[in-house]
Amino acid sequence: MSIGLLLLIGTGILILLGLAQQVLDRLYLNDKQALLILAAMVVGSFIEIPLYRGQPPVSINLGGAIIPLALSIYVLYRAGTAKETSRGIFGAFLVGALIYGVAKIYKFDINAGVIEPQYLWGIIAGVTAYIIGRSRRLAFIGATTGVILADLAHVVEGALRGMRYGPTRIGGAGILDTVVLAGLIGVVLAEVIGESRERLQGGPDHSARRTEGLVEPEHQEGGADHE
Amino acid sequence: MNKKVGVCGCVLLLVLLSLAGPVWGHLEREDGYYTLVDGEGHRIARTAHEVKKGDQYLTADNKLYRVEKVEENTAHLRLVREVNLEAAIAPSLLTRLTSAVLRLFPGKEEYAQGDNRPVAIYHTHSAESYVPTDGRSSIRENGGIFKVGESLAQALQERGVNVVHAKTPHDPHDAMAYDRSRRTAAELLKKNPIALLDIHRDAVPADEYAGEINNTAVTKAQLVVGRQNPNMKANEAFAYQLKSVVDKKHPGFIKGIFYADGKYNQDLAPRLLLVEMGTHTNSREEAERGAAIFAAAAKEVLTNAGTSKRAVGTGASRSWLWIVGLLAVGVAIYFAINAGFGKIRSNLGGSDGGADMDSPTDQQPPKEE
Repeated sequence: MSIGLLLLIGTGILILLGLAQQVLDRLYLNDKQALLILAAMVVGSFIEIPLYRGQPPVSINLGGAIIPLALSIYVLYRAGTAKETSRGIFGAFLVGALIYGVAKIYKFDINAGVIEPQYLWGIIAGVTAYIIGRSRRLAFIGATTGVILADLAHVVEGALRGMRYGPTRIGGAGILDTVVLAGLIGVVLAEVIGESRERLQGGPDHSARRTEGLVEPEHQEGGADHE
Repeated sequence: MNKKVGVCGCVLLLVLLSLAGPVWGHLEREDGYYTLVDGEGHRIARTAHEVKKGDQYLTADNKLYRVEKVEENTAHLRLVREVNLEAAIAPSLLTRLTSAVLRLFPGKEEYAQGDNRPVAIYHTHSAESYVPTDGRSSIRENGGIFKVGESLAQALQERGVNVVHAKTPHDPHDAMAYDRSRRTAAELLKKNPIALLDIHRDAVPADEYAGEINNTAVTKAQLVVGRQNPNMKANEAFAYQLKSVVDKKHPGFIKGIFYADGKYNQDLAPRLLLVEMGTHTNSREEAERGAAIFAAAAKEVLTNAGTSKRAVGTGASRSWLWIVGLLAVGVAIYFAINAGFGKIRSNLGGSDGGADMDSPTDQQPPKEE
């Protein structure tokens, strides 16, 4: 293998792992858990679980859909307030509906359309999540669950219209699937928009007239500073 | 709360409309097509797809053009350069150096030779069909394109090549079709193919693809390289390699390389290409013969990782430099915004919020909720 290809693959993996690690870090996971989840997603990419054996068959991939979905549910569970949980569920359904709707009207083909749809889903999730809750976590939940819901909507649509669509393999490309890619793009986008916007408007308020809720607690140990 | 949701909804709708805006402008034209002309007004190509400034096209005679302006149905092109395919796919200094070092350790270099790794074929747009023979331009779940893929597979098999042809439908032809075919491509990747080909057909007038080889009517082929794709340079090198080897046997058969927006799942592998075999107004038999011609001429590159690995490696080196460069720019911008602005603000005597940006307490990221 040429050195160029080796470097490309190496850098690709480093960037992906770096991004994924940063993303998982935002999801209440410490470094060890984050790496374990990543490893599970890689191994899980090879495991496909059938959901419906009829025609057309429906299956779900462990690494590409079940683990990201489980992570979303875990994050929702950890959310704490009922408001945040309902916002998360609402956001996921909204993103799912948006992806499904945009996929119908966005004509993408060789040189039709300006942006690759696989990037667009992440952008939709990131922007939606930021508008609804200014939340990186909501971006992850929205993007992963949104793509999965859009796939399910495709199955339902096929059944209702009597189409013999091909098999639906939710998250079938494993860790390389759009579900994971959209999740990564969503969080990173929400992070970049969020951090930049917050900094551009002056950063954290350290003045004496800041509201009481913004007074920083004593320095805390652990991952609490990533909330 | 309701008001907030309403406002959010409106903002979201605006954002989406701005993203989806080009959608309505980029529908396949039903009332005609674009003619691409060079500086002297000579016709270079025609396409039913929307053409915009900045698009690139490599012609059959290896001239790389860029779209300068679009007026009604005519796109004016500027010649960027003539591409020397042989030179473009020659190994870089870095690759040559590595090969020289590897040659010191015998047996390390030839690992990819001699095994019978398959060539994988699939179809993202499984409904694409040919009007004169199939009756319609689109047949759900079972387009004429499957038969063209079969012809390609058969021609390769006759030459002793191991082929995996996935006839998985990915209907409908919407923006999620590539998400669905990605799963098929990922499944095919598990079989460790040397090359993956996503076979399509175009939608332009028949004469754009009409050709003749040995007094038999065939359709020509067009290769497509996705530009929004981290693997782009490697895929481009693979396309150059294919074109160069086919050009030697049938000059002009590959009518061009189209640089399209999108990535068409080419990020999955350096040797993954999208090939357009004819157009909807050609007969399917012509396209099937074209596919067989393509298979016979391209076999050498399609089946031997050894012949293409240096070229693809060079492309990969270029891709890598691009990624590292872009990453550096991205990180610089991120830091400029996150640290630099504070300093700029304090220098300008900005708000008290910005004045103490350098204080250690500032290391904590802002609270989200």
